[in-house]
Amino acid sequence: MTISLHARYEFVDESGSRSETRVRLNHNSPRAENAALALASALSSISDAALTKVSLLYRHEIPPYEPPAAPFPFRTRVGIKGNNDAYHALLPTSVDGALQIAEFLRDGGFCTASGDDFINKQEVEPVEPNWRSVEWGGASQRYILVLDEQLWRDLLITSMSLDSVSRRDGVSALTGALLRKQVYELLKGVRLEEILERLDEIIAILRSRAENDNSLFAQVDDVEELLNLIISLI
Amino acid sequence: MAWIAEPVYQITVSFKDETGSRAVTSAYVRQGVIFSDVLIRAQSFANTLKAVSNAAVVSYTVSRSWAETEVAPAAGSRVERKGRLVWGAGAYRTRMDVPSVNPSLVLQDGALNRGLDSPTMVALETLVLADFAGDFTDSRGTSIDALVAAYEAYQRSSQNRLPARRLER
Repeated sequence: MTISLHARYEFVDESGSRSETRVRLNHNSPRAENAALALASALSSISDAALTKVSLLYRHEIPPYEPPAAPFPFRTRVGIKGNNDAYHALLPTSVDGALQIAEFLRDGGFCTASGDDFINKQEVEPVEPNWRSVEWGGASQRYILVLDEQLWRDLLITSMSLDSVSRRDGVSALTGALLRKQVYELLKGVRLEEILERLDEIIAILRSRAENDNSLFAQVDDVEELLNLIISLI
Repeated sequence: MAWIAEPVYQITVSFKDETGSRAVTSAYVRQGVIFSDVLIRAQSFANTLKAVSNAAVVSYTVSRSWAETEVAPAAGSRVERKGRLVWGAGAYRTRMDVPSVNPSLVLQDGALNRGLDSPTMVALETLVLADFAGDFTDSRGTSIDALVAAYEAYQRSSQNRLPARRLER
C-alpha cells in the first residue's frame, strides 16, 4: 500500500498555453495544505505566467494482489439528481452493481460536483458495450472493423482455437496470426447487427471445419479458401 | 491573490481490467467534512466499487482544489521557458520546474539570481527549507534539505545548452 500527497500547480501563459508543476508533500504533515498554498504564492511571484489552480492530490495505491478477472464486461451510466445539478458517472459494472453504487453514494454523504445534496432520485442505464477497433491494411487500402467486447472475445477465442489446431498440424504461429487477420477481414463491410445475429453460425462453421478437416489448416491457401467460403455464406 | 476553494473534494477511483485497459470513476464529498472522514468515504467507495466490478481497483485519489479568479499572464510569458530548481533530498536530487520564470530573475549566464537582491527567490528558498522544513519531499518521500541549483531552461534544452554555472550558487 502506497500513500502519497502531491500539490499540483497549473499555469497559463499569454498565448494560452498551459503547464503544470507537481511537488510532493509529506502526507503525514498536519500543515501540508498550508505549505502547498504558501508555495503557490512563492511560485506565482517568480513566474510571469498566471497560476490558475492549485490542487492537493492524496493518492492511495492498492497493489494488484490478484489480477482482474476479465475485460470490463459492462458499462453502466449512473445519474443522480441534485437540487441544481446532477452527478453522472460511467461505471465498469452491471445495472445491479450501478444501483448499489448509486444507493451507496446517496446514503454515504456524497454530493454533486457543485456540492449539492442528492435528491432521492437516480437513473441507471446500461450503455453500449466496450467497442474495440481493429485496423489493418496497406498504403492503398485501409480497413477498420469495430467490434463490441463480447464479439471481440468470441472471435479471439475462435481464432485462438483455430490457431491451436494449426499449431497441432505443425503450421507456424505465423499462420495463426494470418488466420486471425483473415477472420477480421472476413467480417469487413458486414453490419454489426448481422455479425451478432450470425455469430453462432460463423463460429460453428469455423469449428466444424477445424474439427472435420485438420488438413485444411496445413496451408494458408486452404485457410483462405475456407474463409472465402464463409464470406459467401454471409 | 484570491484563491477560491472548490466546493467539493473529488474522489477518483482507478480500475484496471484483464487486458490492461484502465478506467476511472469519480464521486464528490462536500467541503467542510473533516479530511479523515473524506478518506474513510473514499476507502469505502473504492471497496463498494470493487465488490460490484470484476476489474481490479488499483488506486484512489482524493483531491481538493483552489482556483484563481483573476487570471492575468504577463505579456511575453511562455510556459516553455522554465525556471528549473534542483533541490537536494539527502543523497538524492529532485526537480521543480516553474513555467515562464520571470526574466528579471535570470542572470546573464542563465542562472537564477538567488542573492539577497532577489527577495522572491530568497522567500521561496526560505519557505521550502525553513518555514515548512520537512513538508516538501522528493518522489520517494525524503525531505528536501537544500537548493542545489537554480537556472533557466527550455523544455527542449539539451545538456550542452544549459547554463555552465547551473550547479554553482
